Amino acid sequence: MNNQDIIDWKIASLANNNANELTKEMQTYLKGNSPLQAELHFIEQFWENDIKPEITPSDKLDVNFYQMLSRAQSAQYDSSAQISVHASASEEKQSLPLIETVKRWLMPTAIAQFATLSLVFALGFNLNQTSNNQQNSEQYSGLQKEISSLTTVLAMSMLEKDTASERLSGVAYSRQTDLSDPLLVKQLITLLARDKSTSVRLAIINSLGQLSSFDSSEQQILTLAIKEENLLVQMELCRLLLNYGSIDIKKSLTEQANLQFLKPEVREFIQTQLTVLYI
Amino acid sequence: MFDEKELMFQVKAGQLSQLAILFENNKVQLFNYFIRTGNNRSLSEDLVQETFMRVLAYRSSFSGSSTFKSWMYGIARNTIAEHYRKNKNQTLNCDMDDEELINEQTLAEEYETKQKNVIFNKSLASISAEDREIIVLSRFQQLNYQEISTLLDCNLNTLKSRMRNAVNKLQMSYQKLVGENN
Amino acid sequence: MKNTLSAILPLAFVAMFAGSSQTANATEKSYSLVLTKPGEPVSIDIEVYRGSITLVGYQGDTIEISAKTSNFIAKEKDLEKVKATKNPNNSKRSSEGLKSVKRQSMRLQIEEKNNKVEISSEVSNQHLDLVIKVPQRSSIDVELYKGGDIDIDGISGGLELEAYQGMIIAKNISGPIVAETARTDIVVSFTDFSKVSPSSLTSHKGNVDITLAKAIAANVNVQTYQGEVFSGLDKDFVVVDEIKKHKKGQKQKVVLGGIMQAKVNGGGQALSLISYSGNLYIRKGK
Repeated sequence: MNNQDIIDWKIASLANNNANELTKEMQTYLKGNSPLQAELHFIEQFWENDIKPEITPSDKLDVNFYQMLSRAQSAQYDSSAQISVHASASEEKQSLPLIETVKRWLMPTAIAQFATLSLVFALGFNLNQTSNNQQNSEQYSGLQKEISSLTTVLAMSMLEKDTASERLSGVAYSRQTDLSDPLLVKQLITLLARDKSTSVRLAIINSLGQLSSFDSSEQQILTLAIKEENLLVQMELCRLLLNYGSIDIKKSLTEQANLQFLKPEVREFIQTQLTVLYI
Repeated sequence: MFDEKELMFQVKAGQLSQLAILFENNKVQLFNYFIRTGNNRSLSEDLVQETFMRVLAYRSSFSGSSTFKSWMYGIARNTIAEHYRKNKNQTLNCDMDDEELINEQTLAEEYETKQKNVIFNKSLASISAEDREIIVLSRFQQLNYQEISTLLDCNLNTLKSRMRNAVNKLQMSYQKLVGENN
Repeated sequence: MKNTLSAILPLAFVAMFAGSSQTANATEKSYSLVLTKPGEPVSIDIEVYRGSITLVGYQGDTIEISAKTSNFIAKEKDLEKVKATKNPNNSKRSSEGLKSVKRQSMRLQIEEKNNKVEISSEVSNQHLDLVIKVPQRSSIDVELYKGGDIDIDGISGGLELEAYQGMIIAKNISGPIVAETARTDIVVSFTDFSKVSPSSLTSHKGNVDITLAKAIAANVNVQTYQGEVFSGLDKDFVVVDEIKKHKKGQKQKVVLGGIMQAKVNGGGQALSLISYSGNLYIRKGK
């Protein structure tokens, strides 16, 4: 029995979280050995003390991770379509360098997506390293534009997916781009007209409020509203026009010729809104 | 609760969404691991991201012979090593005393405990990186001996003795700092 | 007598079954479906015109289907009354001396290819009760037009559910889930909440009632025109809807149909609850 045995026991019981009792022999050894007792006390203090509260990382960490995961999943779905073609190749087991392994599961059609992934990661990494000065803030806004266009690409790709949840994700990404890309806006409005999921259509309507040039789409939205069979969608389209539309389009919406096509609940809603908004 | 090893096998089988659970379960600890081993906040975030990218890329190599945490920390250590290889000119940012790292909760602590903590932190910062690593992995990242020995590729007895030496140095440094303080 | 068939379906396969076990007007059938790629992701698409669908997640790797049909009740009485006499509206042929043959065949289509399973029944005069055990990780897409409910238990994959007449009930799930009903309730209990992509529960006139396990982090969005919102959460709901042109001088108010949001446990992926006239209930679980 020596000091080392006792110290080993102490550290092991703390590190491995096992509550082994001191043996009789150990207890006898420890008694009267105050330097050793002090050492044990220190170890216990260090282990049990809340030495430093855990630091929480920023939201950016989550955003980056989930973007990466989403892209990896998109790439996986795209590549599964080509699995039968490449079946023989994928059966061979080879050890490949990292870049080849990653390329393999991303597949040729998604190399653009992989480039996106690397570029976004590199951009994100670089953004963290820049310090505050004139040159860097120009670079920063340039990088921001790059990220916006990459997010647009990501949004457009997600909007074409099979599951409603992925399309909802696409709408969420669209909102991050401020809807500056006309192709993206066109895709959203097309999807609004024909998506089979009410949830997706409602999410798109909510995002259209961000349109900086709402005027150019408002007539199209009015036409959609009048033809619409779905109560919630029709309601939200009208609410969108009332909140963001021009005076002309609001007049148009409230004309009898158009009102007659709206469901009674929607007509009632418009009436209530008119008194609030002082049209 | 869920089994991390099982989740990682599911990720390996193609259910990439399960990686999100592993991420949520480990991100704060991993982030703090990078901070405690001497990296600043934003670099630590990037290193967490890079580690999980590699977990995803290397998922086919997860064999289950160790726990998920142990495997993940192995990747984390490689990630740091590679970062410093690529950025040789950057000095290690050992900013454990950085004001920025103290969050609101410490403000409510008793002065005495605060003092003690500051000295604990300083003693941790003053010992060698190898010694610090063993203590961080055990005390903060809560890996058990088995996991750490797999990770550092040394046998249990060697590990125990390294641990004992590290704690001993920690204590000596602590006593010295306490003495200086008084 | 019940027949249990085990079928291995490596390629597209269409099955039509004659009723083999019969009680009064019911037929029961069981199937065990083996996947082409065991252990890998599974997607299951179910479309039933009239009936009820129950899906239970389990640890196994096969799809266990139990299907029970009965004739649609409104017509049952008519069928029982069929006489062996001429139908005055259809005078051409005589059915004298003939027995009326009740239609008891079950029409159910099952296809599987590379772990993509499709189950459908589109006949309108039969009520089909499906109880299916599926691997826990499965992603599910269900459309049920008439009849009973969609009932989901213990599935961790993505869920896309539409019921036009019955309720949607889901428990022990993590999503992502996108579900829709017309007039009936959606009741969902989350044990976990997927952070990968958004979830949304929409009912035109029914209620939406959710329970979130204590540790779940999410951005819960609520929107109802005529209904009320009841919350058991610690976090308050705040208005997120912006009315661009009417900010100056106006106090923040809840706009009819406006969206409110609560960030639970620091916030996470979006979970939207929407109804025109139903109430929204957000409960805190264990």
